[in-house]
Amino acid sequence: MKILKLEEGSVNKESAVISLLPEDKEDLFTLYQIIDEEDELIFKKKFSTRKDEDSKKTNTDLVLLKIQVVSSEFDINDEFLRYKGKTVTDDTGRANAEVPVGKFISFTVNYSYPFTVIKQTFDKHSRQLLNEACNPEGKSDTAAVALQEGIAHVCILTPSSTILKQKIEYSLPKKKRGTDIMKYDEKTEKFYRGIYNAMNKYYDFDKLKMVILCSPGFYAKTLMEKVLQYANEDRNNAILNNRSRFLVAHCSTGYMQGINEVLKDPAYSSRLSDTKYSKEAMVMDDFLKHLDDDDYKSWYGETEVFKASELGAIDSLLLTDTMLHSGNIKERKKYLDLMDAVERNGGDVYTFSTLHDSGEELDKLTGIACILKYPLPDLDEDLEDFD
Amino acid sequence: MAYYSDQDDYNDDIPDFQDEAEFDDYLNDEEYDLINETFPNLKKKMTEENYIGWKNLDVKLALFDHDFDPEAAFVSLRKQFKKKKKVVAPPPAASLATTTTKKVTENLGKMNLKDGNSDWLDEDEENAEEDARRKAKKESEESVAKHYKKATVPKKPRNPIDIAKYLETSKPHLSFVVLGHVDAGKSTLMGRLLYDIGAVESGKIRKLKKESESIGKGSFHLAWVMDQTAEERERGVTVSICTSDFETEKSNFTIVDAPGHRDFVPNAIAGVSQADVAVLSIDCGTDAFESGFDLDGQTKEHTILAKSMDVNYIIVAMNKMDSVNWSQDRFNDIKNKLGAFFKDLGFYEDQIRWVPLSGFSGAGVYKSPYPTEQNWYNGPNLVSTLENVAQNVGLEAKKDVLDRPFLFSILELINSKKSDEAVVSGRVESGSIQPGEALTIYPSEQSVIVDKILSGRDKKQAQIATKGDFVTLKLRQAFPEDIRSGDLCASVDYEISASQTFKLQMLTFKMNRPLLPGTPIMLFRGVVEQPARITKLVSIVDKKDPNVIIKSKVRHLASNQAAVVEIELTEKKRQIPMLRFDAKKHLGRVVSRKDGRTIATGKVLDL
Repeated sequence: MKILKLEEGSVNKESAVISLLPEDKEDLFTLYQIIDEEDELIFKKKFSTRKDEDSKKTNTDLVLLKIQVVSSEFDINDEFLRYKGKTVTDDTGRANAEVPVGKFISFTVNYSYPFTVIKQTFDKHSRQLLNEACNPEGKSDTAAVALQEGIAHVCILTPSSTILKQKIEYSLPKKKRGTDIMKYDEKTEKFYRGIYNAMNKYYDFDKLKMVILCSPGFYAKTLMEKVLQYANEDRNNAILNNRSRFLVAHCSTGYMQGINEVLKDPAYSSRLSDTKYSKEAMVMDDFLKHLDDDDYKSWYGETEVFKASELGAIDSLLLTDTMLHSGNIKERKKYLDLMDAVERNGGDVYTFSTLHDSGEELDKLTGIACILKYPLPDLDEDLEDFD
Repeated sequence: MAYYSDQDDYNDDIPDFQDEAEFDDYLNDEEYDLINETFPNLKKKMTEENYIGWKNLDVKLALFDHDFDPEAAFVSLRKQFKKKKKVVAPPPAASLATTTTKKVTENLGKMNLKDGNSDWLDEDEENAEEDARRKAKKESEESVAKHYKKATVPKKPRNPIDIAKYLETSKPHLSFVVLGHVDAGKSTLMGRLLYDIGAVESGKIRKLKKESESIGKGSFHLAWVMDQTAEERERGVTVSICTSDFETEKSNFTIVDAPGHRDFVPNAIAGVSQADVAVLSIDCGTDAFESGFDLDGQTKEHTILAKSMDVNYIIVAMNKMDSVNWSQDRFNDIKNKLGAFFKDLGFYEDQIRWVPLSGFSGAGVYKSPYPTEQNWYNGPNLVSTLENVAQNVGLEAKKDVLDRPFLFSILELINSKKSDEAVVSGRVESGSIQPGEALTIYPSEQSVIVDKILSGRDKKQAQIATKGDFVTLKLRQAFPEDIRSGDLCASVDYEISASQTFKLQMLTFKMNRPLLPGTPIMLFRGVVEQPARITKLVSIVDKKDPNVIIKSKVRHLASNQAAVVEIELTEKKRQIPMLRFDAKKHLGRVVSRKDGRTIATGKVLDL
């Protein structure tokens, strides 16, 4: 993301006026998290106006518009972010020159025109997200293929999301005595070729940080061999030159859960540790481990976590991005204060993206959880009679 | 249908015809008359409904393929050819009784804001285009399935036979799955069994022996009868299940050879789901039993799977006894350890049989005698034991045929050259079926006609298939593109639900992470496997009596607990057809795994 101008405190103390230009889908997700309802946007848009009531002639101009956000629509698979809002008066008089106030207009964010966001409350969390988005390092994607007999999932992992690009399914004939084994081998070959083609279609090997191939048994290893074989045949230098970026890993299933298994597997952590989602998966696993040990160090649920925070006992705070993106400003403030408190007391804060598997898991689990520095067995004591 | 004879139709390869006249010549007189009776009407119909690109020959061939049934032929023609323009299709001329339409869910919610608000300014076209593109994409992803005809009125069999009489005379059928730790000799034992019984020719064995010796795996030649793919042979492990039929004087058998390696447990689950009984192969070699049993071996996991999927007999094949010189002490030692484990799981003693044998040499399997070292076991050999069990299981199965709905689980869809024919193989779960009868396939809800039933090793035509049989069905008026393995078939007057969310009563095993709302798991029902997520922990219940609720506010589910939970399948538009556990035990049973371990078994309470 490119920030063209950042002015703080010009409208009121907490506010900020930011002119920016998003560059990729990650930036869209950042914007989606930063821009809330009631924030204002100034942007240019092609707009048709009818000169006089009766004439059929319309004029299409690029005009400057200013809206107050009412709702948003976001889909990372389509790289699509659109805001809907109401036109408001512009004090400078430059925007909304030909449009009445109080009309509904939508704005689809694109990568070619910069626009301006007027945020009423520009908090620490938003600032951090914005800074991260402007830092090109650590932004590169990881590719992952999870496969098993006859099924493969070709995915891309971005810092904030897991995107399934293509699912490949071949029903391989079941083994029977007397099955024509040539046919079976032919189908298997087609299956691997299908994965190879999907990888070529969706992966930009020069820009990827890593390509994970994972499967139960030996399918991933075979896929690696096949990919190199096909690449050699096709003189596919994109793959051949980036051979070192491939990681063949073991997991128990060819569905997307397999990828998460690899991310939290200590055996591969040295190669993955600098990725945000691998860290998330590991923290989540640590949380579950404490829960399984029943050592009263893991808790989830809002009341429990806030209580633990008051005692200054939180070592790691886990929460989902949706908690910080709630429409209610008071709610949001509450969580931001919680994050501050945990950090002040020497704890770590992990915000999980709900577009990742571990984030989705946390989201179903009330969206907030923590690991404590020391056991607190009675944290839920006066909450409800708990068996 | 006097003009129809199975023999005529048996030869499915009718030659390719260049033109109408050539085809007319091919027909015998009776057929020629029939075709000329029906052809003009059908031709008129095709013209009236604006189909393009067809020739007279196509229409005649369709008629011929459908036993001169003009309506069935028309259905297949409709699929082959397109209409001239996009006219609204008239209600399909259904040859089956009623039509039901599946509701297509539409994502209208998003539009509300726009529609409900008159204050919207005219948007430029770019926006509208984008909307249309996204909407189309959404729809193509979400619209579940085309609507198929679903019949509700049963059809009479073509040549009805007396089921009760048939049951009295038929041989019992038994399917068994071979389980055990990796390298316990499962495939070798099955290869030996098939060879000794005469289901594999000795020439084939000689050939396999030569091949296996040439890559330095001389002892694997019997296993190669079952392990056929290059990968399995090179690595010396079984990967996918392999079924095989054979018969003895007393019974018919279907063997399911399952993989032992932990990575392929999902395939073993599929294998267990098809079996009446399990043969558990134990490597009695020094330390070999211990490594498969004591550590995190598959002996235990497989047995737990068998128990939780209602396999009621276990035949323990005490394999590789030759490697410990047929020592009775070793036999008893293992028997004691395993017996205690079986008891813990809830097996009764009369559900377990023990047979010392050697799959490699063949001693104790079928007719090969034991060597002189073995002078302490006088019980039946493996095949006789299987025959005994088959009698018991066969009697049970017969109770589940008369007046029971026909249920069939599809294990595999086999390619067919004809456009409206589907060939599926699978297992009859209850009731019976005869050629000519109609059935409905779920979840696609298409009703089809059973054309032929093929059974046994040589794919003979059968007049009936009853509960427990493994058969291949040739189905007519089917849409094979919407059939996949794991689908269920039922008689047309029986309803099966397929659902995205459901309620389970779960029993957890040893886990190293607790289950929470949101925990992702892999769910298995028979041969179907789907990723799923726990959405809600409803209550923890008593393990002995599930009606007793121990705790209704559940924060997490730990090892060895019984609980009621709600589950949601992760992938949209993928549904697992299943029945409630109380309606049909075997089809209401699921197993869940996570991170490569079997963590729980479940009964479907509600769909």
